[in-house]
Amino acid sequence: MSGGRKSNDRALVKFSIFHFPPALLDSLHLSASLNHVSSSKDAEPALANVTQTMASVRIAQPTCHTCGGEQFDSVDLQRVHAKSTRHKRNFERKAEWRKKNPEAQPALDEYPWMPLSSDDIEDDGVEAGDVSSDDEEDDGGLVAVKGGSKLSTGMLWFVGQVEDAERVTVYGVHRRLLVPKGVHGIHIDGDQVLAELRRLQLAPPAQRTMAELKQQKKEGLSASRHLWGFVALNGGHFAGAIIDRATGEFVAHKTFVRYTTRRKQGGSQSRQDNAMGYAANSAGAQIRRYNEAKLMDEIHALMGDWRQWLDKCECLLVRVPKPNRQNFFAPSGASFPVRWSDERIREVPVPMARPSLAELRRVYADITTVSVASVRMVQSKQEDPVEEVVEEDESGEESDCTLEPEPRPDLLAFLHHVAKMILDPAMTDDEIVAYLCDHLEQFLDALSDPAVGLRYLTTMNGVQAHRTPTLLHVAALCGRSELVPFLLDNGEDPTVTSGHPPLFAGGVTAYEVAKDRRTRDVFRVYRSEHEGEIDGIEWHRARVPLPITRAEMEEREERERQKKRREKERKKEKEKERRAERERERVAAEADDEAMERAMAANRETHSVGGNGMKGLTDAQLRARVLDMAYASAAGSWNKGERPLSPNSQRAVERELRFQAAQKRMQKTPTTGSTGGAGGCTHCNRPLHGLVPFEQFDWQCCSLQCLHGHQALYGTQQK
Amino acid sequence: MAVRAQFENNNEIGVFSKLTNSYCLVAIGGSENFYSVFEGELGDVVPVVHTSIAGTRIIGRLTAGNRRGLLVPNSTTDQELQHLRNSLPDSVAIQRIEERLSALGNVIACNDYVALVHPDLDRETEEIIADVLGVEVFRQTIADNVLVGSYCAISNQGGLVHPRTSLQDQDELSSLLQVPLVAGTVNRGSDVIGGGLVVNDWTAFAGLDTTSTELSVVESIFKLQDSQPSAIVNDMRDSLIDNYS
Repeated sequence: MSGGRKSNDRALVKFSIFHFPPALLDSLHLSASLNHVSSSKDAEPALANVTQTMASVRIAQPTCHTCGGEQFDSVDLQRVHAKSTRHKRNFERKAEWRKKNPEAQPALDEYPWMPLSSDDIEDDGVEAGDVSSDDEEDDGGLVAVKGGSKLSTGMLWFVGQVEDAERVTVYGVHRRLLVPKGVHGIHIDGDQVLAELRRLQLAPPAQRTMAELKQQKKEGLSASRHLWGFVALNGGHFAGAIIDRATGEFVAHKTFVRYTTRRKQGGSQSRQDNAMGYAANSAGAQIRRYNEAKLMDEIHALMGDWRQWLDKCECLLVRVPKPNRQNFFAPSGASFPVRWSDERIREVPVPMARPSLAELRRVYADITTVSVASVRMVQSKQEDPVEEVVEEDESGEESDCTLEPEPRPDLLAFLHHVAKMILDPAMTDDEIVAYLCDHLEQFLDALSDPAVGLRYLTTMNGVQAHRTPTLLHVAALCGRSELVPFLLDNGEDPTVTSGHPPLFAGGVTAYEVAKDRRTRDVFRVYRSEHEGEIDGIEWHRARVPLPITRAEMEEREERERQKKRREKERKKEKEKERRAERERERVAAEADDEAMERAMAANRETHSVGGNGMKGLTDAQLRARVLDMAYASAAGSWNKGERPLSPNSQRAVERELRFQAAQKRMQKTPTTGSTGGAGGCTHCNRPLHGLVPFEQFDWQCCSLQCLHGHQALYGTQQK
Repeated sequence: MAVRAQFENNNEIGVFSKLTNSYCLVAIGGSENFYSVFEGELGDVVPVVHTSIAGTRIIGRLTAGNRRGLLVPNSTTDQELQHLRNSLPDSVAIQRIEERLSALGNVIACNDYVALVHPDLDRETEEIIADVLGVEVFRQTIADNVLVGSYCAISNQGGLVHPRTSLQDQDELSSLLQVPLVAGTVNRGSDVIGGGLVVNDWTAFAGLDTTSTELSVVESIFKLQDSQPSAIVNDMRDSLIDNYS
């Protein structure tokens, strides 16, 4: 091990990716085999022969017992190691092991917690957010030599000149810096990558005369600037910078902090709101929501200020979490200088701690430095220098945890095209199915591409991704009952919800957004026909209720159709009836009018119709009277001599009678009752002449006894 | 010199006091005897501050510090903080720390250069420790015990660790700390070293139960045999020179 390491130390130069030595640059080629290399493990030291000196006086030895008795050359190395990711992981393993075996006493060179070796871990030397090593800040710095260990898969490894028969020096540049996002794997073109690398090179400053320099200063410094942008947003922390890559100087930088994350719960407020399906109403939630909006506003304002720089940037390094990208790059209203689809955007390919200026500096220095490593020829001998294309780039989840695989843009475009067709009311289900059958290969390709997420639709031209994240959702929402089984047959997952996370959380499944009964039934029928299949769909997670058979569905539909028909008939009948009634009413009214006209005419002619009572009546009274007569005659209750009264006059007569009766009653009982005259005591009827009466309500009593007696009789409360 | 002392009939004096190269904290409410041991030994060299932390007397377990600074838990009252500020030298930075593991003395063991801390300590706390105490911080365990502050006592001269610390671990730790370490006990076999012993570069105080053998181990590993406060000038020139420069 130690021998292997030492041999690496020579001939390794430090330089940034902008300053490849020209001679080296010409000799570089992209290695096909290295870029999905799994390198040597045999260089690991035999742990067994690590000897421990047993002395009574402890001589300090820079070792790491936790990581399998590793020995270090110096204390500094040991201290660096003590802060590395690998040490931390092993430390956790050891703690876990100790928890299980509290009493165990492992022998000297036994490590029952099975420490991870450096091969097992992509050791970035310094973990994200760890203290940045101060000595490698300037001009790109130097990268730790990784002889014998696995080459990072996030890099493209270029092979330089072969130095000797044994080993070859390779140079690694972060893949994301050379290749636009969305391109990976076999789509990477070696020539193009090299051309891109050449384009990045900065020419050494030309010797200029004083006059030229002055001229340049007059014109403005920006003429020869090579600007890169760098923005990072995470957990309410934003940091942005404009970097002149020629000098490594930060032309402009700005950081914001806002309280947006839910302390001790994790995650942002908006994510929580989405997951719950409703917005929490607590004060904290509102503050965070407000701050999220404010933070975005501030960022967009800043981006507006930086527009002149951003427009000139050759490359924009971006670390924005996926859920935020929509907001970040496409603010409503404002015209943002950069779009996510912009060619210049590069995702930051290394782990990054909370955004801050120091972190930006560290990451920038990190990713613009060439990783130099030397690999043994034995591993790389099968590589064919002529073969320029990388056979298979990793871009796998486990190999490069910092980057999500990018789905192929053409596939996504295809899916969006289909979504648009489904949304188009002019298309019938059969047409869409036919179209999909024609393009079945592409369709299956798109759905089975591991890079295509569970929720692959993004919000654009009519598709609302937050409601309908999959084609199945769209089809269900539009009630495309023929299309749904087709989609399910071809591998659409009905368990995907529109919430977060995609499976079985808040949010709704395709079944739940279905437009009508029929579409829902289609799901249930599909369930009945495909339940119990191996690798079948987890129907309870798709929230599709109990299955029904096709016969049942048809029966139900038939029943429904009949019900509808019956209802229609009933409605028709009712309508007919109503029309008949209206007709009858019309006829009656006409008859009335006719009778009236006749009566009026007669009245005008003779003034004597209906006897003396008719004379001198106004038109309205006459009209009422005549109507009465007409009805009475129609009912056959009309007798000569006794004429019916109109309701009005009837009421008047009754009123008169009631009044007369009341008057009579009053006259009959002048002295009794509470309304007794002023002449006597209310209780005993004694005359009150010469007395001051005791009064209560309208009673007037001769004495207090009388009043009390009256009170006893009638109570003390006037009704 | 290593001296024995007792606080209110209790031998765990490390619980009730905190000793560094530039100050000494003792809990209030102790006997005059206890105070006079400290004051007699430390004399005019460093201030002996009588204080409570968060209203309690277990100040040794709640605080952590070295000659550059003092860390106190979040529960420390404002009056106590003000009192400490007034009593300690200006060169000592005092920092109140928001940390779930509030017994800082139990989770942090440090000398003037290196701190060993509990593996679950907050990242932010770790940064504060590095800044305020001017040390390099390592997450460690002592004999598979996470309470590093309780199970070891370290100074710039040496360190005493839990008796069951394996030789490998002692090697590793002593290399990390760059001081010689020895596994041992205090208070007649107690393995809670931090509880029974407080130590700085020229003096140590141990519980009254500590046997003379234990005391001689302490004196030898911490190099206290002939050290006087004046030894600061000779032996500890390195550790002080950057303080004055």
